Amino acid sequence: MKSSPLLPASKWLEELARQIDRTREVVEAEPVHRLRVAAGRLSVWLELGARRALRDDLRRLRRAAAAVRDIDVMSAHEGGASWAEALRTERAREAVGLRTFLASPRIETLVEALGLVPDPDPVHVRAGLQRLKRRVMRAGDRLDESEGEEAALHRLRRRVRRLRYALEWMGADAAELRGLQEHLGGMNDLSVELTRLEVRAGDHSLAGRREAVRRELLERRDLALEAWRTLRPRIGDL
Amino acid sequence: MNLWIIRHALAEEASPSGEDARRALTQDGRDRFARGVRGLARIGARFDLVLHSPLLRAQETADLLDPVCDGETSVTAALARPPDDELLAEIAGEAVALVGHEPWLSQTAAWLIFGWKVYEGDPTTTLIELKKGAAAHLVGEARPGGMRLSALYPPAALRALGRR
Repeated sequence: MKSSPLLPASKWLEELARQIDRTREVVEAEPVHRLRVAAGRLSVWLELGARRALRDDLRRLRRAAAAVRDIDVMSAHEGGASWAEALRTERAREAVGLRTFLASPRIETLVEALGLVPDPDPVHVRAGLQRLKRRVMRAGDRLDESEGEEAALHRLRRRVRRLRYALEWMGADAAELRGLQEHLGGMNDLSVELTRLEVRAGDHSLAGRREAVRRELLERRDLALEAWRTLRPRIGDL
Repeated sequence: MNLWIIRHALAEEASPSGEDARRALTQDGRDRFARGVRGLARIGARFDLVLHSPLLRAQETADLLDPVCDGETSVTAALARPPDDELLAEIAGEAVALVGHEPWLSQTAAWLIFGWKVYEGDPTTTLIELKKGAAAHLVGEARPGGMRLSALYPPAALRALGRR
């Protein structure tokens, strides 16, 4: 058996199981966030091992937690009493859905199945890392072609996140990618918030928040594009 | 609907840890099954859902079905035990593959075709023999007695189809 070039998966598998257990009890912001991070990292670990199975299950798990996570991020900003109340109501509903999802026997099975997967083969890891880099570059090309369209930025965000996780699985320094991802992630959070605020376009008490989010979104977008332009020539060397 | 019941490919006799659930596919098993998947593609099999057992050899077989999977994969413990209503409830879509183990796959096929669970009378009875890497194609509704056997593809037949 060849030795794996990746850090052991056990740490993140234990983290996933722990945060699932915590969230089954009480749907709190931090465990939900950590659950999503652990699921995302394990998905990349599977991809580096050229494995398809279980990745869709992990994606569904991340998606199930996404609504709660989005609301938690929005709730951290000051938006006024009616907005805070609307978010509280929506979060309570989404939390019930997440707990129901996590209570499914399917989740236990997923964790058990992940525990059976052996360490990735170094040959697969090398190929997988190159593939992830190419995907980031292609997402960058499409961003150029679209002249900075939001959907293209989101595609880049997702691919940068996966490349960052891959490098971190290899014990490499991913600080530059992390910086870019923070800009792209912040942009996404604001974009999600703006979409929800615009649904309530008739609520004039939210006008100030809407305007602030639009402004922050443009600032974040500029920062993200600048960070991407700086990093782009070095993606192949990461 | 089209239901494809697929037995995992050739696996090692024992895992390094000795745990049955960790038995991986052999390289020969992977190569043969990959050729069989080309046969599945040749006969137009496409899946919008691949349900597989959590055992490693079933996970790895599901991985190899990627070229004919247009939809998602999903792990279920219901494929690592005798067939039950929970398994049937998971079968959703127009073209679904079940990847698992014997004797439960044969029992599943028999239950769906004939409407009764053969293992309740005789646990050693299998009405359809599924070799490792074989596929049974059922058509109809995924309920007991709601399907008919359209075709049974031994692994060698799938590989031969893939060579054409």
